[in-house]
Amino acid sequence: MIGMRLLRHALRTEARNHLKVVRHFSKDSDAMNSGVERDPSQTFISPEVQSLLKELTAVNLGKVFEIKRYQEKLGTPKYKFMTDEEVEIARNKAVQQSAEKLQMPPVLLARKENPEVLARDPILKGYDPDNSTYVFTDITFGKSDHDRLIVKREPDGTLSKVTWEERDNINQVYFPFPGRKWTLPKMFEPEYFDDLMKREEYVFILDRACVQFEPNHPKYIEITQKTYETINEKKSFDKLRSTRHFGPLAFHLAWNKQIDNLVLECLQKERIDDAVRAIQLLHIIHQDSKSINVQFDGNNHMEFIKNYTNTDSLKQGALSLAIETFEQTALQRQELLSVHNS
Amino acid sequence: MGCANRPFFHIVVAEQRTDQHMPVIEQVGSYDPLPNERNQKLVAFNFERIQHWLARGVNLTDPVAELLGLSGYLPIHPRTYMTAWRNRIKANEESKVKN
Repeated sequence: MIGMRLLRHALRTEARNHLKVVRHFSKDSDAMNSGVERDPSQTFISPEVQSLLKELTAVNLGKVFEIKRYQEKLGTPKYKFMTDEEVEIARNKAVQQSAEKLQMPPVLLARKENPEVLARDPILKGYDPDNSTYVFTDITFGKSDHDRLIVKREPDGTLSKVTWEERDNINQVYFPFPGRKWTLPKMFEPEYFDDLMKREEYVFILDRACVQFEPNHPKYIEITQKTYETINEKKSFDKLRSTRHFGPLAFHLAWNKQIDNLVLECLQKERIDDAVRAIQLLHIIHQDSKSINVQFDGNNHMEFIKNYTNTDSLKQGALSLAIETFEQTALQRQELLSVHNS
Repeated sequence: MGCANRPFFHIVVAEQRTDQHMPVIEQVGSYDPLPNERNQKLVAFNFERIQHWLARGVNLTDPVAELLGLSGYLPIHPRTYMTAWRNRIKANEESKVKN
């Protein structure tokens, strides 16, 4: 449940600071013009967006509980004899456990380094012959990594709180996070990262990024955004379906108005509901989009998608073609069924 | 508490009368005097327990008092000011000798 805890912390402190500035602006365009970055965290955890993202993830329990080769080893399978009711109970339990595995890492703004200075004592200059910084950590039980008091005394006598980067390191010393490395793992360096993208190992690197960084770490945001952009280019959305990363991927695409490839892929795979949900997500995030004039009322799937294709999308040709193909195949299927039944 | 040529200290609450190798009452922090690769000297304090023991009326040794002063929990120890002053004078003289 680390993701939700951090999200609450982030919302209580940083997001509120950002919102203090953004609150003066009612329109996204105003905020953009004044140079203040729009904060995605509030939109991300709003219930409508969360439910849309959960449905878009298209949970397939088989894939959720799949043991990847870099995780624990496969054990021998266990077989049980069960009645129908027991199977139902086991299935519900699996759905509950899958909810934990499918917790989406929150989408936050990159944290800013601005450590508070607590005291200045220039007379202390020279107290340490090695000229090193003393870092004092409060190891009181029950404090979280975010709230723990960590201060440093510089060789020139300044007492200040530590930067977020230093805080991550110190927390790793005294309260190590399982799986996190002290130095930056090589797979996040450009050379190895590009190789992973070539091999389409998206879930691998996103899982590792989740373990290694906090969601508001600038490097995490950079890695995830690059991965999402690569996935968008190569249109391999299916690799992230049923994982915890599909939600943030869909949110990122909708935030940057790049859902065309996703809608196209959904149409090609005949996932009309998912295509509708992607467009609805775009409408919630960008209240000023042109296609918001037509609302989805539960039945007008094709009309809704066509309206989006004709107004907001940048790939009008490809999308209209996909819609036509889908409608033709649906018609043909109906004809075949009616012939078969009669 | 370290090993040969590698000192490492635990900040503990102990009876003043006992030997340093006897069991202590409680460990309340640690101090690594050797700087790490980021040129930091790491000190850990369990401030909640330190507050409890200070309230019980415990004596602080000078090194611990100095560290607590540097951390901001207590006022800076006069010895820290003295060492800083003396180090500055020494550095000044050495630079004069070089020039």
